[in-house]
Amino acid sequence: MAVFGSFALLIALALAAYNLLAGGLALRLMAIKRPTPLSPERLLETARRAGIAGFAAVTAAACALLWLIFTNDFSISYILEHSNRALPAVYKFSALWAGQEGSLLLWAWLLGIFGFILRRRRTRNEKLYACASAIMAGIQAFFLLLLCFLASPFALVQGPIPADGNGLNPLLQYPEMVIHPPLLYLGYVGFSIPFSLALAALMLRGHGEDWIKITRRWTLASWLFLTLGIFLGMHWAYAVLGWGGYWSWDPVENASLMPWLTATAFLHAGLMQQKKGMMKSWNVWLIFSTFLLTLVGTMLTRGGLVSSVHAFAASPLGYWFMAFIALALAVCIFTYFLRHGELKSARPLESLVSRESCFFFGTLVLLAACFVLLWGTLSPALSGLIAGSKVTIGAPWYNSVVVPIGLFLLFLSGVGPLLPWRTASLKDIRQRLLPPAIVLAVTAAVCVALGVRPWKDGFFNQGHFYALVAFALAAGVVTAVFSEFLRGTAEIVQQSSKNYFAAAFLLVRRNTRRSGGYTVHLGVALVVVGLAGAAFNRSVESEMALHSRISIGSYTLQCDGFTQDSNSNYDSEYALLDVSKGGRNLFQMTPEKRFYRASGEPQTMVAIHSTPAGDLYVVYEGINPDNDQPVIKAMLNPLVGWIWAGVLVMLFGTLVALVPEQCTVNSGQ
Amino acid sequence: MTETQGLIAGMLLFFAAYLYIFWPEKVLVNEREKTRMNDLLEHKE
Repeated sequence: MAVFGSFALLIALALAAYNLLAGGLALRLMAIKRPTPLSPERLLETARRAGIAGFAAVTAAACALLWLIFTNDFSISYILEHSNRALPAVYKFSALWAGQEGSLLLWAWLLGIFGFILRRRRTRNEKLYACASAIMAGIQAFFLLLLCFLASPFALVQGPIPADGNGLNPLLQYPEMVIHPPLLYLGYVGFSIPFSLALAALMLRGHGEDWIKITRRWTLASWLFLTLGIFLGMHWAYAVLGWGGYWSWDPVENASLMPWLTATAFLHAGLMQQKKGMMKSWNVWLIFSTFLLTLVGTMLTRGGLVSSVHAFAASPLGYWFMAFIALALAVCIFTYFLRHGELKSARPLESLVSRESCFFFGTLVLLAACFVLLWGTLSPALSGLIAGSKVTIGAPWYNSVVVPIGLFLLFLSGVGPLLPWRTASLKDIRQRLLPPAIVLAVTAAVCVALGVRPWKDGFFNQGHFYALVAFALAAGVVTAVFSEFLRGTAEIVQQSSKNYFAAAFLLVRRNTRRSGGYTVHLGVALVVVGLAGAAFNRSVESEMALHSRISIGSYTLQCDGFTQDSNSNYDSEYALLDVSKGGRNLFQMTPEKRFYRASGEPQTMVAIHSTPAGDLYVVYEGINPDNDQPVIKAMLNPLVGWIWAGVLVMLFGTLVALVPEQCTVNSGQ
Repeated sequence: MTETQGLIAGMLLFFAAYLYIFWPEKVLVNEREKTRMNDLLEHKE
């Protein structure tokens, strides 16, 4: 099966190369419009089919690797390193992307799937699709080259074959880890389609606004996958790593956030191009940057350039990625300068107080945030290369720079939908901004009254200050979204005899993009409230003998015992803690520590009790070797649940935005 | 699966891909040379 897998990868590489070369040649022959012995149409069709067949070949290779994982073939080096006999079936799937070679194969496979969908579509923009297909084949060829010659997942073990494997990294043995990497990769790889279509439109000329309309759904779907991937990663970090947080500004976390920021900017700027013919050059560069940043993200994870809990050991692949990114960037710059005359804005920005200006400033701010992250992420590696010593950039630096930027973005997400297109009069501004402004001020006053005070005992608390601003702004955004929604609904009620529910439904159906977008803003506001809660985190750590107690907030934890368990995959120790509040017994929590047999590595399993007000988060940290006493750490993390609730709202909003809009003529009938 | 079986399966995949890509399902050269009159006649038929 390993031979078949390697063979399938070689076939896929040959097919990707054929798709790229034949597709490019056919388009060139079509462009020169001279009779040739070769039929360009036939050549283009063979290129398209090569792309589809390439998908089948990569699928065969991925299935071969899965088969080898499930049959415990430890003669394959990759399987020996990332699987073992006792590994539960669901985690055997995770083994596919647990290592460098497997995750590169996943990249190529997902690219094949997206390419298959693109190539199956028959539209009037046949040339645009054919050119995009050739570009995607070029990207695919790069990954397949790595897989065939530098990082083969089918490489054989040298020497005697061990009876069992080293097992999957314990950090990955968690249910969310089965879907987090594929979702993140779906997001990363998905952006290669809008990128290819944008580059193809520039190369071919004459496709004007087509690409931006075609790519909207692709971008939105990829953005959704990336968003879910990032938040699932946050939830995994929160539930598994045991430090009580969900985001540590790790280089690989930053690498996933950077394309998310540029893609968010692209989604907004794309709307400007579709509606007003503005920001054309911006859009081209936003989608180019998004794709290039997905490659940077993959390079950071797979190339071993930075230290991270996610990154693999140093490997020469980083330099190959750098070379490919440089090549892709050179192609983008060359094509842009060749065609930039066609990308002039249809109209200038008329007023600084308008929806257009909000979109524009939003784009600038998102790019500023992206630049900050890029600088912070690459600085250690660059300083190491230039000065010989690595500069460390920690969470306090990121928090001091990114948090104000994020709050300004939240402000724009509330103000933008309220401002009219082109220009806003003073009356407009007063009428639309007054209700959210009042709610914002009232929320700030209530928060201060409840104890969220930036100044306490003569000291300025930056965390509390940002939290106060975040709560007030979030309340303002929620009010802005609802007031805009109610205004639209009231207009429909006035114009027709519909009741409020029917009118609200019609409003959403008529403009799913706008309604979905507003819902996403609502979700973002909820997420920000959850993030702001971190300013009030509390923790207590103590050695706990039997029946001893610790208190945190209004909760009291009493140790009811310590016990052990084991199965074929791991041995575990866990504590039984009775939780009470005001003398009343509520529930029992069982924080756990596992010791995986194959890898010999320990893993924390946190016990979490969630309520809308906050999470009680308990970690069993192990036994103190000096006195054999178990150590328990309890944390009270306010409002964390709001983050996950906000993500669900964002998911719902994006799904609404993906629904095709009902045209006004039908709705009137 | 032995090495030989793997090789045979790989070869089969290669030939299947080859047939799929180059199978002359539509002879586009002829279609290109078709005149408007041919097209109208075809429709009439």
